[in-house]
Amino acid sequence: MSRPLLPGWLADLLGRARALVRRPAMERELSEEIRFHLEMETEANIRRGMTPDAARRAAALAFGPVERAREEHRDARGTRLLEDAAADLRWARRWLAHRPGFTVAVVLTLALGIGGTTAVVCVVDGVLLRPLPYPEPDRLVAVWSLARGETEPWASSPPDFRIFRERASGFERLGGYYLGAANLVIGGEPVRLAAANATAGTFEALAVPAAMGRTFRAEEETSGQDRVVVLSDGTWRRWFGARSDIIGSTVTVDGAPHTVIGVMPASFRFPERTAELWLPMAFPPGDVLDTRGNYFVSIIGRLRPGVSAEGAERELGTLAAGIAADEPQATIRGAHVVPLHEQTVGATRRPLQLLLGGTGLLLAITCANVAGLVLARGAARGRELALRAGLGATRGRLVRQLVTEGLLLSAAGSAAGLAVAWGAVRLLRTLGPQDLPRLDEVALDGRVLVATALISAATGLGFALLPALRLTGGDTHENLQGGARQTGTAGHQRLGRLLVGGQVALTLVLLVGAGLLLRSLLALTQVDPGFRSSGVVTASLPLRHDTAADAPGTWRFADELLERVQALPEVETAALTSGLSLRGGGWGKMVSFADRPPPASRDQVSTVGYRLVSPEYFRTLGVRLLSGRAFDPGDRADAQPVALINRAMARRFWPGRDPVGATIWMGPPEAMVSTLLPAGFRFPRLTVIGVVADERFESLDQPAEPEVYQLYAQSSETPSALYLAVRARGEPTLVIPGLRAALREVDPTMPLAEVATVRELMRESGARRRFGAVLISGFAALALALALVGVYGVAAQFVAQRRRELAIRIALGAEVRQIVRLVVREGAGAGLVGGLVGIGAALGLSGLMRAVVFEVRPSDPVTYAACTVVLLAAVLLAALLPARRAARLPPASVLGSE
Amino acid sequence: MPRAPSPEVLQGTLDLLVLRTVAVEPMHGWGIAQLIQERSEQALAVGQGSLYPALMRLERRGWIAGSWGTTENNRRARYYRLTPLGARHLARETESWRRYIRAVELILGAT
Repeated sequence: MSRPLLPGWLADLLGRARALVRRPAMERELSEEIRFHLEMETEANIRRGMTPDAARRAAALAFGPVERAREEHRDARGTRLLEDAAADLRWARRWLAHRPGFTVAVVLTLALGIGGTTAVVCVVDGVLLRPLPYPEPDRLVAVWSLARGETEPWASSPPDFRIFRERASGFERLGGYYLGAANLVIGGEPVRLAAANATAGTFEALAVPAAMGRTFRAEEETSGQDRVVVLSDGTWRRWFGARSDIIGSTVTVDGAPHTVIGVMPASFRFPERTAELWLPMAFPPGDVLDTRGNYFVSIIGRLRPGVSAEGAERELGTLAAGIAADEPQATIRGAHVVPLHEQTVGATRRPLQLLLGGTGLLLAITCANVAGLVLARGAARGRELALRAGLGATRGRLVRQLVTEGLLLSAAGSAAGLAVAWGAVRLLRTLGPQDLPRLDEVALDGRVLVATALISAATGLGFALLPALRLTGGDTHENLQGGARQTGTAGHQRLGRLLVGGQVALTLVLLVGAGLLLRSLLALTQVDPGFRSSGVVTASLPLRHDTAADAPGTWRFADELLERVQALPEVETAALTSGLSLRGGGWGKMVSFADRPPPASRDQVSTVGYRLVSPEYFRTLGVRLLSGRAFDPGDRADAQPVALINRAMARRFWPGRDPVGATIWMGPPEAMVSTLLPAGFRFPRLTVIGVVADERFESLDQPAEPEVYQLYAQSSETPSALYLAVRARGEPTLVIPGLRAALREVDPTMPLAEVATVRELMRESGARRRFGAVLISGFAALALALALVGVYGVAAQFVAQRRRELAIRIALGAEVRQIVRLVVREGAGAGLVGGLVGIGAALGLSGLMRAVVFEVRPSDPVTYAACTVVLLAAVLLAALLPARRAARLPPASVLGSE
Repeated sequence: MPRAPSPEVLQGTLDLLVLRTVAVEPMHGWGIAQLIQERSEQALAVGQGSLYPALMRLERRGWIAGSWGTTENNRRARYYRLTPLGARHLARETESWRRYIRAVELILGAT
């Protein structure tokens, strides 16, 4: 043959493969070769003078045992492992098929364990591990400003953003954007959509081109040239019927005709998946928004290759210092650069890791449980295994066979588990907290399937190896003689107890985790939100760009709307506010006090929350007045401006004193900023007339911050957002049609948006926390069930193996109580030790819980005690069942049957 | 158990002897066993049963190739011949075997 020279290993591999394919032919050929050999040898012997019979015998003797030669030949083919595996697999399949109860129990247990793990791995992969869906996502960063006196990074002001963009050399592109809403008129109907105002650089930094048309150009950042709009794929399909000729058509946005210039791809979800359209970020000349001190522009950047986030941060810090030096009114002091991936998912890392840890525990419990089942089953197989060992099977060979069985079981479990995972992922995507970033990117795909295969293999090894080593470790002779009854009793029991103890320990860890989260939830429901949540409907009102700059116009509109809403028969009271708890519109302002000396420098001026409200605000939301008086009709536009403050403000600035009657103003002492102000300017002085309860503004688990409330009738400011709150006489949702009608009467082009009851807002506020608690509780419940099955199994196995002994004891007059105690001690003993270990483990891990619990210590003794009691009670109960059965054994029939 | 009339051939050595034997001309299993026995002046006896696994091992590695042919007496037999890969291996192994023998002789001669 003219086969070219192959590398040795490749030739070897080909040889093995050929041997595998030609297996039957090789067996046949070997027989023929051996026959030929023996014939030749026999003939030679005859030629040497032997009789034919003697010649044949001598030939056979010289050849040695034919079967051994055959076996060695098979070994030499190098396909032994595979052939054995195939045989083991066939054997395992038959063996399992004859034990449907055992097989179904194991497969179901594995399906839950592997399925649950796969689902969570899927979420963790989609949210945490997978790179962001942009080209070269490692170079994308979020940029934040550090304002004077603030410790938290904040959004940036438009002028600062432009300086960063012009001067920073570490960035290929910088884009600025802010979230808002836009009022569109589509087919004559007013529609309010979530919008983002963005610069051209935002799209360029992300490096995502439009699916149709184009994104913004730099010149569209100029007021007057900014009448263009880019649609999201969803908006284009939902509101424009996926028209292919949409590019170039005109649509009314905020009362002005805009040209549609592009449609983004469906996969583009920036800044949030809720963004339905993008408008250019342009400010009319002299716009108050476009000034330093208005920190609302989020910045995203693409670093130049080789530039680190730290390097970029240093450069921007230098620029910020330059701005602070050049511009006296600038409050920026530094910059903070965070990788975009971290920015997007950073907050979810800890909860998701905990969730992953929880599933890991569940999987370990599953393994231990199945190992226990396999072990119990295996006790009955001792004889079979011993027989095979006696016939020459090595221990490694037997272990291999048992592990093959385990892998087959775990493969079946994984197949069922994938179905579980598929369902779970679908459930998570619809029921998961909507503020979990990237949830819509979560999917079961090749990566996850690979992970599942690995999990499955590890599980199979995990639950099969231990019992396999145990089962094959015994003395062959003893096993053969003793049969099923006695097989390695002590050893099995020891391993079984270890497995159960481990399960109970892990279960306690999960139970404690779930308990802490549930107690956090409970604590959350007991938080005083500061307002009465029942019967209140809220909605967000459109503020048009063209009227936003015109405060009197805005407030005329507000007054008119409020009057009509108040007149509705279903409405008890109604109010307007610039910021609504759990909703948004937070607004920080500097505050100064007439009753104390001014701070030494501008950096030390305090900033507090500030809201413009209508007089009925507190009555509508049910915010209690703690001291002083509420707003009353005497607080007219031309009267002395007054303010209400919340309790947090009173405590911070007037500790132990009554703030009522104090004079404050929203701004720094004028002397500090005299160069920036018109000559003789004074911020309006406000008289504090009362203190109200703390509203939880951001969310229920955040502490209340100091707040100042002022009547909008007494202010010349315009808010950036406006919310309507209505307390209904009856069922709150019934007032919604009336509200819509009232708004239409005031301005037919304005839609009512984001209508929700306060109850709904509160539920949303706790959604993520509840989601986590529910998941972990589900795991814990599952773990508890598995652990109970484990304890039950150990106790039942004990009874089964000691039937004879127990029967003799009963026959000899042992009392029921003694028998029960004997069995319970066997079953529950391991559980009790496991419980103790579990408490230690849970305490050791409790530090991990710190970030996710609320008003509960991670080492909360009540939770630990309750979980321990529940678990141990359940363990005792599970052991009691077989014990009682044992006590009722009829001794005569047991002893007779042996 | 068959009594071994001569020292059993070590496995690695058996491989080398088989390769050397089929290097001259293609040969069947029995012939290989006979030749090894004769050439070694009956000093080395191949455990005949273990010859076939050895042949399989060598064939798997691509050092020899087996094919069916007929003997002078018109019987079907499987003939093995050396492949180029096998020739290279034989040369290398022979060399290292000789070095080994030399080393052993040097030590034995020194005493």
